[in-house]
Amino acid sequence: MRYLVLAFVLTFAILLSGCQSASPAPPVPAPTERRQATGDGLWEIVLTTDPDPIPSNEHFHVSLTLVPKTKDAGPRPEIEAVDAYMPDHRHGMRTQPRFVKGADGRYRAEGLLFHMSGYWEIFVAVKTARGQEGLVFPVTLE
Amino acid sequence: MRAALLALALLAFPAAGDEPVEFTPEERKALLALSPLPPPPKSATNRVAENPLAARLGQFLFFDTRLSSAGDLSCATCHDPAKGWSDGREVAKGKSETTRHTQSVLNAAYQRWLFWDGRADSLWAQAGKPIEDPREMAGSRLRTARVVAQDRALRKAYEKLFGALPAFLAQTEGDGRPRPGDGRPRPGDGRPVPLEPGHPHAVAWAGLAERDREAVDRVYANVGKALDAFQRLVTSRPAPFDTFVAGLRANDAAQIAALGASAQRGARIFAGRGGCTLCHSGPLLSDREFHNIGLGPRSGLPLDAGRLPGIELVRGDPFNGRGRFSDDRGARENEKLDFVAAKPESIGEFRTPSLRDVARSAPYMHDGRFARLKDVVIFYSTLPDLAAVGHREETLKRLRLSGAEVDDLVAFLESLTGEDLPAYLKSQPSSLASP
Repeated sequence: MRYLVLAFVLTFAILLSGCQSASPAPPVPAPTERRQATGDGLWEIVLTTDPDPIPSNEHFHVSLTLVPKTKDAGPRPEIEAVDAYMPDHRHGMRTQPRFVKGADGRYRAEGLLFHMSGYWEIFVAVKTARGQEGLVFPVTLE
Repeated sequence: MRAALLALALLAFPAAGDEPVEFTPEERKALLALSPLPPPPKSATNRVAENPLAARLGQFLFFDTRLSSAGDLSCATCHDPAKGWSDGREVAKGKSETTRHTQSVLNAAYQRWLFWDGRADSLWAQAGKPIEDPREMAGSRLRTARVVAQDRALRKAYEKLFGALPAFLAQTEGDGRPRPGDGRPRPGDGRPVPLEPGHPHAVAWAGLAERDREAVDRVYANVGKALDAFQRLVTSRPAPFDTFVAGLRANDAAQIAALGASAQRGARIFAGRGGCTLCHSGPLLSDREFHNIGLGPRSGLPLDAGRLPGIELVRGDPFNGRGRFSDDRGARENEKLDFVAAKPESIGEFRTPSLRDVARSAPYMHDGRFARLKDVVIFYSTLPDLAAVGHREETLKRLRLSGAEVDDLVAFLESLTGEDLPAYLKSQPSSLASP
């Protein structure tokens, strides 16, 4: 009988701990997605950053994903480079991002750094079926 | 009650021109971002960075003239605590005159890069450079290692932190003291001199076995780490400006009054239309990066490319965070070495100085051309020169300040002067025992 009680208590405790671990975790905020379409309107580049939001004067990384806008969007473009610039100041970053090509239209640029607050443009060089073009993602760093 | 009396007193005796200063929400936000100053960032590449014994050893060595070739110069010769941890000169002078102004070591522990051109990536990597510079202390890593090995107290302190010193350092001739008289390098000096293989220091260095050179380099790096630990204590103390910002944050009139009306007006220009916080940002009042502000050429000094050559130097420095003497080669803080890049705008750039305690360390700019803070503010007001090297950043526009506004900005800069550092940090400790 004593073992039965012990087993009941243990089972209850395990169930209780299971319930506790199943309690809802704090919601993870959705990453900020910045989107720009290629000139022909057939593809879209989705840009996210790590960390998000972009920190002031600290390194951050950029992930880029190519997404077709239509079923027959044609051959997937290639992203060739990522950089950033302050057009009002006429200068760029003090860093050269490391560019990594992944699979399935995914890319990553590591080591961007916005050392000043203000208006920045993240520039993405893309090679599409029509040729090369540059897409600009505006960012205002407070 | 006390606050009410103080407010009454302020109302009763307003200074001339002391109209209340109103800040826009943007100016207020920008000012709040400038204070308080947190502790310096941790250093993963120096495991003794926060060790009090290392700081004590570093402090002892900071004031020790035995590390120089003639036994007459120490780090403190140019980084004099009585002169804002600088030297009061336009350009530094050790064994001979250099071409750049001595930067204060106050708050150096916060910087991402060291030197005007950022050619070192940590305080411990920086520390070894002036000891060997022929224009500065003109010493050598071999001399430094021998001084430590042949002084009983230094040796004991060192070995407690870093382990046993190589035996050959204690066995060589001399006691670590430079030869009096002609001041020529002692036979015991030795260091790499890549461009002068016939230099006596280079010959002595080449005469060591490879493993002994490696051992000396390690001692030298460790001495740098102790100097780093000490300099982490040399940081600004709270200034009237910090009290003012705390008052802004808490809406406390008495604290806000820590700054006179002129300094408050200066703060408004600094954080507002002056655009000064674009580069002098954060609680350090420095973005820890490099800019070309368009200073013209200076008679008697060579053209200085600044940051551009500094980038290659820091990447190639065997004492950098990725090097074999680093305590964490994979540390995240070393990413800066991977991503830093030489760009056309790097030409003629110099590191943004911190403005904390700036009134203590005149003269100003990388070549010490301005004797007074007022001269600096007038420069930004008028931007009179064409850049001697490269081109001025477009960020900078003539501020066209009135004479009164110039004075207000100077009053603001003077309000960044913190409390005095404790006396025990300003001289060589009497012993190496922890305080």
